[in-house]
Amino acid sequence: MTSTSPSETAAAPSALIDVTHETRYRYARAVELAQHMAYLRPIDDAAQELLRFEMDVEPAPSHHSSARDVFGNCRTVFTQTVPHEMLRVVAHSRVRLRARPALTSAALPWETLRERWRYVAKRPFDAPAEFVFASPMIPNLAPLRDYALASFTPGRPADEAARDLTRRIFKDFKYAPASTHVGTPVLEAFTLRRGVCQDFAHVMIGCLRTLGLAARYVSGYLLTEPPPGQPRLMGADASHAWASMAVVGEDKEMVWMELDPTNDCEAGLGHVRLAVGRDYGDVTPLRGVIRGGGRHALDVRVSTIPVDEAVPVGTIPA
Amino acid sequence: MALHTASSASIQSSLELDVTASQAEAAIYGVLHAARRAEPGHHDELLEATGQSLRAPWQRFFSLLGPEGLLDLRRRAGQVAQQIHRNGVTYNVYQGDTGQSRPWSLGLLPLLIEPSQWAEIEAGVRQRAMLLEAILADCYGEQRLLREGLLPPALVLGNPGYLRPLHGVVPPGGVRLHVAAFDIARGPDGEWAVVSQRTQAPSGLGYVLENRLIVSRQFPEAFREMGVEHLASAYRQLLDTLQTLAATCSDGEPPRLALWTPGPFNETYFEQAYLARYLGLPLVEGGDLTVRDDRLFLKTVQGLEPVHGLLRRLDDDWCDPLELKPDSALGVPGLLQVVRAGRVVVANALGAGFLESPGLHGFLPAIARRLHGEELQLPALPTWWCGESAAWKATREELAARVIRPTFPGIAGRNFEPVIAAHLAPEALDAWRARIEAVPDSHTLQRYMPFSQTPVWEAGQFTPRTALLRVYAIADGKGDFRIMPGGMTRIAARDPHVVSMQHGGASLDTWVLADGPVDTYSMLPQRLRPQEIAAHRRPVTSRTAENLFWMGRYTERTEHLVRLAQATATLLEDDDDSPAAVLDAMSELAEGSGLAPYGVPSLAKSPRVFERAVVAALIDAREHASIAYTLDALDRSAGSLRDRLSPEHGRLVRTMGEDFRSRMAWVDLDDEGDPSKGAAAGELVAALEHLANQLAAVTGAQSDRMTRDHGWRLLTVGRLTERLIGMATMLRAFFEGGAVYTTHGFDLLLSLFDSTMTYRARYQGRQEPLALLDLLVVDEANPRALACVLRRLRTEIGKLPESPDSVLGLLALLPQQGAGASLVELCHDGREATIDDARVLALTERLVEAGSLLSDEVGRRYFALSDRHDQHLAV
Repeated sequence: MTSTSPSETAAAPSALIDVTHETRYRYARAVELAQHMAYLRPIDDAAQELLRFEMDVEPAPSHHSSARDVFGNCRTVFTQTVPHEMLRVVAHSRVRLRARPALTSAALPWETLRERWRYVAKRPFDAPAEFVFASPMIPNLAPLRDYALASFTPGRPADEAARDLTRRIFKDFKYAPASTHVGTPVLEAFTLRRGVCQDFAHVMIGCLRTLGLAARYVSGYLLTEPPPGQPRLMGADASHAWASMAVVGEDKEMVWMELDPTNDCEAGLGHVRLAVGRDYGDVTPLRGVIRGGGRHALDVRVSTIPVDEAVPVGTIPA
Repeated sequence: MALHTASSASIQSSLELDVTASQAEAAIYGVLHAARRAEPGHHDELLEATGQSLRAPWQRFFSLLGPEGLLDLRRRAGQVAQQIHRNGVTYNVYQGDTGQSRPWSLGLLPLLIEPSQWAEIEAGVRQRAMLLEAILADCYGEQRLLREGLLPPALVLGNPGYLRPLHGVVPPGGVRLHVAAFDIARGPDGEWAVVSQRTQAPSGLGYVLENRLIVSRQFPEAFREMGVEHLASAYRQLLDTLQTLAATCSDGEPPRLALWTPGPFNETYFEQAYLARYLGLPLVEGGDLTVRDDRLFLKTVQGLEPVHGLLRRLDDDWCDPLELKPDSALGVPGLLQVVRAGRVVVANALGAGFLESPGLHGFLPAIARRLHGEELQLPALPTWWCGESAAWKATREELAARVIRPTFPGIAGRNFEPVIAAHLAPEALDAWRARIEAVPDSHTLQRYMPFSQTPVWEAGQFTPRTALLRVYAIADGKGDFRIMPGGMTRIAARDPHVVSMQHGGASLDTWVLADGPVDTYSMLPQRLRPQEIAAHRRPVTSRTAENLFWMGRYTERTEHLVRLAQATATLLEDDDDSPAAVLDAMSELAEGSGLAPYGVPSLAKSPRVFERAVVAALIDAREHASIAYTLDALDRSAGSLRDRLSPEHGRLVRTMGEDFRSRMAWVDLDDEGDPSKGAAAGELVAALEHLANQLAAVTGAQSDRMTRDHGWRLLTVGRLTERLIGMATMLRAFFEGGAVYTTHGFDLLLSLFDSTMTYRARYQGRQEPLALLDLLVVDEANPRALACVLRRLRTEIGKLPESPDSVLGLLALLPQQGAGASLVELCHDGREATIDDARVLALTERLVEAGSLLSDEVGRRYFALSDRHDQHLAV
């Protein structure tokens, strides 16, 4: 249901999407004190305009604040000091997606990029170089490098090689909900050749970084209902994640190319971006430290619905 | 003497000079005779290059010591070791999951540094500290050094120690490094060079003090005459800096500081407690702190109290489980948010850890030129970070002359033990080359330099040992640094190339010799204004209160057990047949208190089996109620209370356990022979008596030597609660089977209540059960009467801080007055002279129950905050 607003240029495709992301924890015993940190506010930039955002937290926090983190994401922290046996966080967002920036010239070979991100004394620093390094959840692993080299053959343009890697991960790995958890090490997912979107993204990023390429983790959502005639994509009923790699064209222009190995595609008008970071740990949608609580049950629901722009926009269904 | 003329006095003094001169020569001759030269390639701190004479400062040192002093070195070395043991100075070494503490190792002789050398070190370290501060400001701010290619991003953004959540945060006063430590060493040419730097939570400031106190006492004359720089001003500077900076975020209140420790299992816990006591800061653990509304608080028995400054001994990673290492149980969830809000000074600032990478050294000279327009005065060992391919290529073939070090020390998966490549075989060298080329960023090479060797007095010889000196730069809060004139010298154990405390090295005091007058400032209390007095009263954290409460309970429980054990031993020694009722009462008490294991045949049935079981149980530290167990528990509580107990007090507790263990070992050995008559019984009685005396000293220290704050009050409440339970239990046992009505039982009960003297004085030889009941239950004048224990409990509870539901709830658990029953109420109705045993038993039941309820309630009200069952969630 990708639609084009009549008021805008007919040439620029865009999509208007409403997202509701609800997280609910039920605790066996009362939680006496809770400190949480959330990355639930979608990115607002040229390719993704944030039209509306609301976040409801129950019980009401005694204190909360939001600020931009070092990557430009919105980080919200809140504290609950009333004893509670249930935590509910609901984020409603409306975004307008437009086409991502793309290279306007042929991509350089991957080895050229690798050299470019490498440190040479007194040579000015290129921002993407930050994403070449191992990060807490994605260490440098030799097996990933060997796996990646099958796609990154000598002299191959970086974008083409990356698309090939995306396809191979999609084919070689089994998407298996609940087969892993948020702390699953990348090596385990790689060895088992299975996991959820977070694992697919981590494996892909790990592959790219072991080659010396700059890759980021993108946390976000996927359109729940696919456009008519297209298959429903994996990972649509929960929050989603994919990878993003810095590519440079022959004209020296740099763009972040977003690749979704869970679905073997490039991120498009169905991919809503929440936050970017080095790995899941930088942009965990919701995390916390609680005192008390005992055992807990978790329930997460995400609905991502295209808005029919012909219909006047009313309230967002909760 | 008064008649001495001026001329005779001068003759006298010139004679003394002569004597001194020849004595000095004798001493120096003696040293030369007993000194070994440094190993080839190492600068010799003691001997001139010829090996025929001492270097100037040592010449001076030994002249002042004289030949007698030289002969006395063995004794002095013994005193140093003894002092270490007495003060309980330890260094914990991790061995599997049982942390073992071992005595701190301190050499007798100091490292001597001449004024001219020190001037160079001081200037160089000061310059470097200022440079590091500027690099931190840049990396957490505009990142000019990265953009201009003066710093490789791998060493900053690629370093796990760089904390992105703190980018853009300017800490109070703009100060990120409050204490920076530099490990420096002297090369073969006698020049000093920086080997590494510590920027997160440098250890050693406590050991430095302890070393100084112990060593300077061994050489008072040399210490004075040689003009050794004092250290106190540097510590004062540290406190002043922290106080001034913390005052900017304390809303006009006097700022409150604390020393944040990882806890008693940390390898340097001793010195953290020592430093806290010296600086007058409360020693807190992560569990003592909590965050509310972007502010930091200390959990105390009086509720939450704000904290504005933390001198931390935790590494960055562990500080906030919400944003950093999620499984850290040592941190404070939400601390980073408090830091971002600018509401707390953390010293050093979180995120300073990436500067500890040795990979940075090679980049510092260019950064110094770029940022400050100056050359570094104190060089670092030449260093090559392999991630810079030009650097690796340049040094690849000279690998054998390098030390290979991890670029990211302490980071799992990227850490390794430094390797001296000169020791490697050619194949091993090639393997290292391949390893480096696979992950160049993780490897840093440093030129191999043999460090200087300084004399250590060992087995009658002066043995040269490789030395590494840690020097501390302390921020003044205004952009400059003051260098502590001294530091911690560490010496290698065996291998002259590896200096490490974890690997069994030792430490030395460090004497910086002054040219001019010495700053003799001592950290005496400053003059305080009246409004500051209250702020200096140390808060009592919930955790400390809990430890004190249990210390009180365990002390009393140990006393109780000792008294029971002594009574049992006496019963066994008596050949006369004790009445069965008495034997049963004692068996029951022994079993109920854990003195005898459950199910052992009673005293009446088989006295020998019973005795053996009791002796075995006494020393079994695994049994929850044995004396050995309570002694261990006492020692653990005392260990966690190091910042509060006087060293003497801690020593007493420790010695008590050690003595008991070693004495009981004898009892055990002789067990097979004749247990009642032989040496074993004698040893047992002696061991118990010795322990009883020591316990008396401990309780004396607890009641007379401790500040009467809420912590002490809770200790007292713990003690009295335990006593209440113990006494009520004994009373019950003696009334239950009628033991109290036998002569033997009557006397035994009096002695268990420590009231024999009082009873005799009042009633001479008469055996009046009612009089006994009066003395042991109702008489408030008898400190061992239940009524007196209860009265004191009520008094102390009444002074406890009011928690929301007030102390009334606690008081309601106890009888309102006396022991809860008068003498009349304990007798049969209408027959006033006869005791109604059932009523006595009912009273004892009530009191035992009141005691345990009280303990639970105190815990719920005052220690609940110290409870910690944090869990981490992520989705």
